[in-house]
Amino acid sequence: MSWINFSGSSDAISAKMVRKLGTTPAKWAADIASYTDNPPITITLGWTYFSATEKCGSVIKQNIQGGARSVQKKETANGIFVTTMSCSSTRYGKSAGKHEYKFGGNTVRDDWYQQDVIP
Amino acid sequence: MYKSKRKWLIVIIFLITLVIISAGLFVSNPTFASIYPQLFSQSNQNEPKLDPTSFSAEDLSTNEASEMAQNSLEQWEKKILKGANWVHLLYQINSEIDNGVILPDGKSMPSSYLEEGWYFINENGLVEKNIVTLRDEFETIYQQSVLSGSTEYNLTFEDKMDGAEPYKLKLDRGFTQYLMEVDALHIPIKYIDITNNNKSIKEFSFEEIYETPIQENQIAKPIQSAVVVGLFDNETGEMITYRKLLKCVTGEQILFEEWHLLIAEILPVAPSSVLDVLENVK
Repeated sequence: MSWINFSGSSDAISAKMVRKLGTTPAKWAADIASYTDNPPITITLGWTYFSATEKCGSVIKQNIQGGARSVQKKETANGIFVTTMSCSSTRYGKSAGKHEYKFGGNTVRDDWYQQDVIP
Repeated sequence: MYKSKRKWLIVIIFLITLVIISAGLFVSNPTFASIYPQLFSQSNQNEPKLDPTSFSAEDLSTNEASEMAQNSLEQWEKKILKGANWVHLLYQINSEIDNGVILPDGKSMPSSYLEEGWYFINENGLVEKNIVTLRDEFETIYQQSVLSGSTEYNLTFEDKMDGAEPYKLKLDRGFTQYLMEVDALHIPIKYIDITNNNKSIKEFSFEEIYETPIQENQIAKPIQSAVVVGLFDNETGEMITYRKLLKCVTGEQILFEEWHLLIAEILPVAPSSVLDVLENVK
């Protein structure tokens, strides 16, 4: 998700990812990033909430909060590491959060999630 | 002769290209990585890492242990994953970790509960529909989910996901796959035969030791290792118990998850209460 020319000539971009960790079994991570690009410039950016949710089928097994963040930078990112719980069906990981960008009295927020299967 | 060599060279180049392309497909979600490679590499550096060298040499080869677990599981699957039947599974789940789930009534979901599943197995041995209920012993429901057609419903949170497909029921709740992942990281698995109440049991266990203590978001103290135990009934192949303990740097042990299999049965027809719930989501 991005806002082209959000701060005059720069874009505000939000990203999320769900990934199974390669170095430890039975763990996955939810990632979030807010940043500017084309070109990167310093603004107030972050997110108002960030969470990692693990589902077994559609049953919610665990939900971990990553908190809010607001910083004066070109980019900021964070991740939540989750130990998987046992599951008889398909396991899903979800990275959710509301991104926030402030520049020159203008604020935009974007609430969305990324969900993927965790093998 | 020259033409033949050239043909083989083309074939080899084609195969190498194919391998490179295939490897690329298995890299974690490329979208995030490609749009912001610096952040992607930062988050990879933060991953916890295991120290497989700290285990004693007397442990069994992991291959041997995971194959034994796989054989037990297959024995159980042959008996229970028969087509056109309902599988009924009831587990007691225990944990000392706050799962962070807030139910629609504003209350926290307990860490310990009963998980009851009714799964209809189709002719291909796959789950075609199911009802899973997390509840207490007095039938107070914490969450209930339904798979019907290609849609999964969470009746408690009034949420639904489309695109579901028939799946293979993991009778061991993923333990054997866990053993294989452990095997790939060269972590030894201990195996012993034990007897409990005249029942012969296979016990598999291993310890994941982290290179540096890791901070889990739901646990205040850094974790230095995880100890995992799985028990199989030697006669039936049923996986009956699983336990995962997290060891803190302070020496304290926290029960991350434990489950006990209470009921595993196959029935030609599910109870009317189960069928009614399925009927009502259509």
